[in-house]
This record gives sequence, C-alpha cells and structure tokens, in this order.
Amino acid sequence: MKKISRRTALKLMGAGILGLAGMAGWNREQIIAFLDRDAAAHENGDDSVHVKRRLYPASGTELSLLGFGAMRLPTRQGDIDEELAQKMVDYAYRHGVNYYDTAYMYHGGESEAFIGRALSKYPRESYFLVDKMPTFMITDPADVPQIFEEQLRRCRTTYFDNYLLHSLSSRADFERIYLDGGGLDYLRQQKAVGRIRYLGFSFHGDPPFFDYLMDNFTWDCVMIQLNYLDWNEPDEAPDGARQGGSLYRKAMEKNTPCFVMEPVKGGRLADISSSAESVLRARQPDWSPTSWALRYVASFPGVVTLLSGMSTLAQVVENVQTMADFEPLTPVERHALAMSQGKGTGSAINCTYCRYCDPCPYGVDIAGTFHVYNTWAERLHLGEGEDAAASDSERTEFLRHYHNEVAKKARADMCIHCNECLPKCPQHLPIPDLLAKVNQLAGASGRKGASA
Amino acid sequence: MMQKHFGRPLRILLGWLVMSAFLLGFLGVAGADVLAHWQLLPALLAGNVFTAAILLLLTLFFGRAYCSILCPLGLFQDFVSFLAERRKGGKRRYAYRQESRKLRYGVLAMLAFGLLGGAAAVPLLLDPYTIFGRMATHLFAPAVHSGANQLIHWQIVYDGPDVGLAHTDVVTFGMAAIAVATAYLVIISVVAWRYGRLYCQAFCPVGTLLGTVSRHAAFRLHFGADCISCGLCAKSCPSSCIDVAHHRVDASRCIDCFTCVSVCPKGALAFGRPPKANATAKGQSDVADPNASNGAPDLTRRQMIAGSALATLAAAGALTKGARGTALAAAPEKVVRPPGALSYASFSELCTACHLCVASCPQGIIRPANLEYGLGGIFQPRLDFTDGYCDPSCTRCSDVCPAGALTPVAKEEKRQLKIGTALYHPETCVILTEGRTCGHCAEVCPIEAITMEDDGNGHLLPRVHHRRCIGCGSCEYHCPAQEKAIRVVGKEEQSLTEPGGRFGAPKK
Repeated sequence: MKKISRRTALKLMGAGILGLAGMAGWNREQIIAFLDRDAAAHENGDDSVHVKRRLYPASGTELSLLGFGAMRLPTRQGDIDEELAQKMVDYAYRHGVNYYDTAYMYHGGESEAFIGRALSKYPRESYFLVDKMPTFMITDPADVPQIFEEQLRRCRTTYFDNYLLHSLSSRADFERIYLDGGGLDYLRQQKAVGRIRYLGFSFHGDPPFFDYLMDNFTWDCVMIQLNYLDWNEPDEAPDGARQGGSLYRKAMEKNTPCFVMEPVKGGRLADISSSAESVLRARQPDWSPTSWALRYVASFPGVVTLLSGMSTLAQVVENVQTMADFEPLTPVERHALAMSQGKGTGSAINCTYCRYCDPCPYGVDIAGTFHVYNTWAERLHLGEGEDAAASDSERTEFLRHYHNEVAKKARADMCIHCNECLPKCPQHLPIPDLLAKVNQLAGASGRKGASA
Repeated sequence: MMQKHFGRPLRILLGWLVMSAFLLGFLGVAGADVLAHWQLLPALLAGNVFTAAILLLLTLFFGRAYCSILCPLGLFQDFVSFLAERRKGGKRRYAYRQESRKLRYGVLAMLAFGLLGGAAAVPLLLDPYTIFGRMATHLFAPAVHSGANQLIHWQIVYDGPDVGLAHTDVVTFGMAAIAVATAYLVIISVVAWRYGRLYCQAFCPVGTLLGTVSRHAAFRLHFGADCISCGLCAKSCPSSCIDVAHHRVDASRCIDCFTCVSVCPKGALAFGRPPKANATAKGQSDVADPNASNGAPDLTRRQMIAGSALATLAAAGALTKGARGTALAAAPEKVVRPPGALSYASFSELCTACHLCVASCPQGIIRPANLEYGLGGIFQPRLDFTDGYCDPSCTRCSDVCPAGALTPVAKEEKRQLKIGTALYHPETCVILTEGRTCGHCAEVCPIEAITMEDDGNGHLLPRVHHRRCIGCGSCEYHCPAQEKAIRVVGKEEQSLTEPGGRFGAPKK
C-alpha cells in the first residue's frame, strides 16, 4: 500500500516522525541549529528531499506543489524574526520550493519587504514571486497604480510572476474598483509591459460571482479555497464554504490553472477528532492529518501549487516532506478520507436493521447482509468503486465474514429484484440495488463479478 | 538390532504425518491431498505406471511398508489397535494364524476378472483408500466442519475473539452414503480392535497384491540365532504372521510394523537379507527351515505361479481399464457428472467412489449418487445444484481425483467445458406462474448464455443458448421457483464449447 521508498523511510525515521513531534517544543536556538545543520548537509551534497513540481501551462515552467506563504512568518516581540524567517525561506528554497506568495497587508506590510530581502540573494528567474492587489483596502480606485508601484519597490523586483486581485468577494466592489475604477485596465497594461507576467484573482465570494468572473473575463490563473471539508460534489449544492468543488470544476471548464489556499482549512484539518485520525492512521500509519489534507488537494490535477501559511519550523519541515513524497491519493485512500469524516461513504447502507422487510419471498437475509456490509466492508475499506482497488486479502477477509454471518441461500445473490421489500422499508432504501452492490463486492456470481 | 531402536518409532512418526495429511486433504485443504495420488489401486486405474512401479519396487525390496505407512485405512486400524491395547493394559493378544489363501486370492480374482470385465465393484467396495475416503468425507469432515461452524456461531453471538475461522457449508449427503460409511467404520473398527490387521490379511485386494510381491522381498524380517521361543513376537503381531514354532515370518503378510522387533527380549528378530538356507542349516539345524527363504514353505510352485499370475492380471486389468473403455451401460440421462468425467464409460469404470472430490468441492455440489447411475455406479459422484453451482474458474475436483476418473481440466478451459446444458421449464417459472418480473437466471449466468426474449405475449422469458451453455448450474441454483424452472441435464460426453461460440455474443 505504502509508496515510500526505503530511503524516504529512513529519512522519515531520522528527521521525521520523532523529530517533528519534538520540534514543536524546540526553542529558537534549537530551530536555528536544525536549519544550520540542514544547510550544512545540503552543502555536503545531501539533496534527497525535494518537493515535487507540476507544470504551470502559462509559463511552461514547473512550480513546486508546495508554495511558501508569507502570511504567518515567525515573529519576535511583534516583528518578523528576520534571522529565523530567512533561514526558513532558505530551507524551503533548498528543498525545491520555488513559489513565494505575499500580499500588501501581511504582517502590516512587512511581509512584502521581508520576502523581497529574503529572496534577493537568489536569481530572480529561479523562483515565482506572487503579490496581490488589496481589493478590500481600496477606497479610491485611483490608488491602484500607487499601491502597485509600492509593492514592486518593497519586493525589490521589477515584475511579479503571478499577480492576483486579492480576495474578490463581491461583484459590486469588483465593478467599482476594477471595472469602473479602471483597476483592471491598469493591471492589464502592467501585464502588457511585463511587470506582471500572469494575472488572476484570489476568491472568497460565492459560485455565481465566480461564474461571472470566469465567463466574462480571461484569467491566467485563479486562487481558490479548497480542502476536503470544503469540497462539494457535482450533485451537492454549494453551502457556505463548502463550494470548493463548484469553483474547481468551473476553473477546469475554463482551462484555468488553480492555486489553492487553505488546504488545511486554517489548521482545522491538522487537528481532527481522534476517531477520524484513527481511521486515517489505519490506512497510512505514518501520515499526519495535515499530510492527508495536503495530499488530498494536490491530487487534483488542475491544482498547480498549494499555499500553506507556515509559521513554525515543524510545519515547514512536515509539509516539505509530504510534498516530496507526494503521490496522488489512491481510491482506497480517498475512501478512508471520506470515512474519517463520517461520510462513511456513499457506501454505508443506512439500514437500521429493523427487519420490517422480512420475510423476503426469496429468502434473502436483507438486514443481515447489510449489517455484514456496513460492519466489514467499511472496516476493510471496501465499497463503492473501491472494490477494484481493494487487495485480495481484504476481499477474502470480507468474504470470510460474509460467509460466516449470512447463510448461503440467504445471501444477496438470491435477490431477483422482485421489489416486494421496497414499500416495507421505513428508510426508503433501494434494497435490491443495494443487495446488488453487496453481491458485486462479494463477486458471488454472475457476469458482474466472476467468482474469485 | 538397530531396528529395535528406530524402526517402530519411525513408522509411527511417518504414519502420523501421513494420516494428518490425509485428514487435512479430506477437510478440503488444498495440497494436503497429494498422497491420494500415491495409493496403489487408484494409481493403477489412473494409468500412473511410474507411481505404481515405484510402489511395487519398494515392496519388492522392503516388503509391505506401504501398508503401515501410506495406507490410510491401515493407519486407522493401527490406531484402533493401539486404543484396544491401551484399554487392555498393554496385553499382547494376537496369535499366529494360517494364511487364508483361498479368501485372499478369491478377492484378488474377483478384482482381476471384475476389472477385465468392466465391473468396478471390488475397488468400490474393498479398496482400502476408498473405504477410508468415504469414512473421512461423510463422518470425519462433517464433524470437524460442524464443530468449526459452531465455534464461529458462538464467536459472533457472544462477540468472542475472532480466530480467523471460515464457515464451511456442511451439506448432508444421502443417508445411504452415511449409513454405508458408518457400517464400514463399525466393522473395520471392531475387527481391528479384536484381530488387528485381519482386514488387510484376508480381504484387502491391495494387501494381497502387494503380499504376492513381498513374498519375494529382498529385505524382510527373519529370525536370528538368539531366539528363545518365548512367543512374545507372535502375540504382538497385528498381522498374525509370525510362526514361532517354525521360526518363520510370513513375508506376504508382514507389513514392516517392527512391533515384534521392539518387543523381542533377545533381539532375535532382524530386518534385512535373510541368511541362505544352507548357511543357516549349518549352525542352527533345529531353527532353520530348508525353505525359509521362500517365506511360505507350504506354498507349492503351482500355487505361487497362480497367485503371481492373478496379481499380474489384476494390475494389468487396472492399468488398462481406462484405455479399454468397455462400457457397461449407456450414460444415464440427465445425471450431471463432475467436470473432467469426459465420457461416462471411462468415468464409471475408473471411479472408486473415494469421495475426495466430494470432500474437496468448495461449492459443496458434488454428491454421491444413490441409484442415479444404476446399481453399478452407486456412490459415484454426481453434481447437484441445490446448494451451489459449478464455479467456472474452479478445477478442484479434477485436480484431486487420484484414479483418473476425472481427467485434469485446464483452468482456462473450464469456462468452455460443457458438462451439461440448462433446459427451461416455463410451467414452473415465476414469470408465468406468479406474474413476476424475473430474469435472474440470465443475470447470474457467468458466461452469458441466457438472454431474455419476448414471447409475443408481453413476457420476457429466458432463452438458453445451448452452444454457449456449459451446464454450470448457476441458473438452476439461483432460480427462485419452488420447483426449479431451469434445470441442467448432463451429457454423455463432456466437450469444449467453441470459443465465443458460433453463436457469438448474445443479443442484448
């Protein structure tokens, strides 16, 4: 199941699991010592941990899956801890991060200046620098050019790679500042003269506004909020923040690459319930909840880079490692993630075992069959769509329980879809279809699943 | 002298290993059934010349070690004798008996002429491995499986620790098979309890066949010079073949159990090349018989030749039986034979009804026939789709058959091996009798040989495409009608359907 090489495993043991747990309690000196050791190791040729990269079609270059967000830098007495933050940037750069994201008001304006200084020692073309027009601070659209000039100055650069309209959330503000106020025209001019390479926006509005933006304008990229809690399926209406699916699908429809913020939902997905975590650990003992959240987002092919504000060294180290080992989640892993949220899947059957459906004219033990399915298929991570990915031993184990608990002639393969049970079920379950699903998993008979 | 120290313990150890393998094999454990292929009569029937030759050569060199190590029924009798001895406080209780030559060779003659004539009655009734197989299949395995199922039941009901047991459906076979297996169990046990290996020395055709060879065994038990004629060996000999008065061991009955060697207080019994008659005569004229090396001094030359001829005839009859194909009767209609029983003629002649296939079938659909095949085919296996169907990916029964009655079926050919064909009986179909919408038979058919077609009266009724249908019985097993509306009938000759069928893909 695990796609971890031996080298990676050793690395994880060395600097990883134990180190990460301990790191949280480290004082500043210990952290700096760690970063210096890492730098020294790099000098000596240890270049093993490298964040994976993905093609950004607009530029034709590859960007690191993990971006460095300069929103929550380490501080000391209220100000950015220059020395430590610099070493963290160096750490990220050393391990392949080439996407640095800042904004006008981060750290009261100090973030831009810091990132400009911190990156000035590296060749400008070796990294992506991203800044944003602070939509919500602009009272007079005439301020836009002045702010843009100031940002270039602070960042000690002559151009931004991605430049985003920061946090679009209402159509009225957008029209006032960027359309009627001329902000968009100005920024397009800047793009034309090469001071902005790719123009996009970051989004906090609702799907209709997003659709309006995507349908009426051309953007090089978008930045959306996406994580496994905020994802909605095509058949799920957006609900509050739970609209990531709608936004992503719209962006894909317009062929627009996505950059993702809040992959860990502001840390909420780093600290999940112990029962949810145990479900995930059962599938991948070495993956932290944060790592699951990042992997989930990075598994979307249309996502180029995900941004995680990384305020502690432990977070940076862990996220770098996660994205260095990254492989897209397998169907079984996605299923585990769904289960950890108590969405026991689309696959758990909502049977309450009331047995109002009894007796089945053809002898099927409906409630018993569903009980085995819910108890064991779930636990063994089998279920809708995932049975193909399930290992033979997992399937064998499921069959063992199925055969132990349901008599041969009372199993799902005896259902002929006579539908007599349908009106009897207080839960309105489509019983024959659900039985067919169990039967398919059991591979008991028929063309749908040749016997194993 | 050396045998005293390791012969008997080694034999007992090997016996336990072999017995364990057999019992596991009859519990359906794959791979444990391998020793069934080293049983003499089934090997002869299957035409396994190599196996039979090794077993006979072994006997020619070392006597009937086969009977005390490889024969499961022999091991079973030894175990009963052991219990009897424990029960009686270790008292030695056997005595020398004359060889019942008429009975032994009478049975062998029946076997030989039966095999030549085409009747399989002797192997069916007297082959030791077959007798053991039926006891294991109908008495031992169901008991173990039921016990395991009960444990599983308790584990679920009382939420106990899951030890990984898997449920096995215990199907009750015909009472006839159970009754006969029980009768054999009782008779063999009683005889073994009182007389040791009497069965092997009087009735067993394999014992007689091997005994004919072992009369001339190169290495055998024989008396040495130290004998004090205490008679302990004769009292301990389960084969009753030690004649202390004449200091003779009957090599045609001795099964190399080494019990005598282990009880002899003087170490006077030895296993090896017996001394030449004249050499022994020199020193111990009172001990040695001039014909000692013959093993059976009262055997005339004519008797010896007749016995050997009979044995050769029996072996040859068994070996060539499959090839000769002297069919007794035409295939009984409608009975479905297990896959690999290609023609009814060879199947019915080769099968000894050991029921290893019955015990091994994962679907539990192989059943001993009562009179479906006629009296001559009693207990031979047939398929019954009441409790399952023949899995198109499974070749277990033909893999395990030791007698060549089920010839090996290649895994990839199984989906095309036509063992029968399904016939639709609209008069009991729930579509017509209950007005239901059904089509389950078409849905569960693993090879898509059934399509649902309009009968012109608004009913979608199943139609079996006989060129595709392989007779696996999935439709019959899954049919919801009380009296199955689709039933499989057997074929006289099993054959492969054409790949894809001339019929091609079924119409949707």
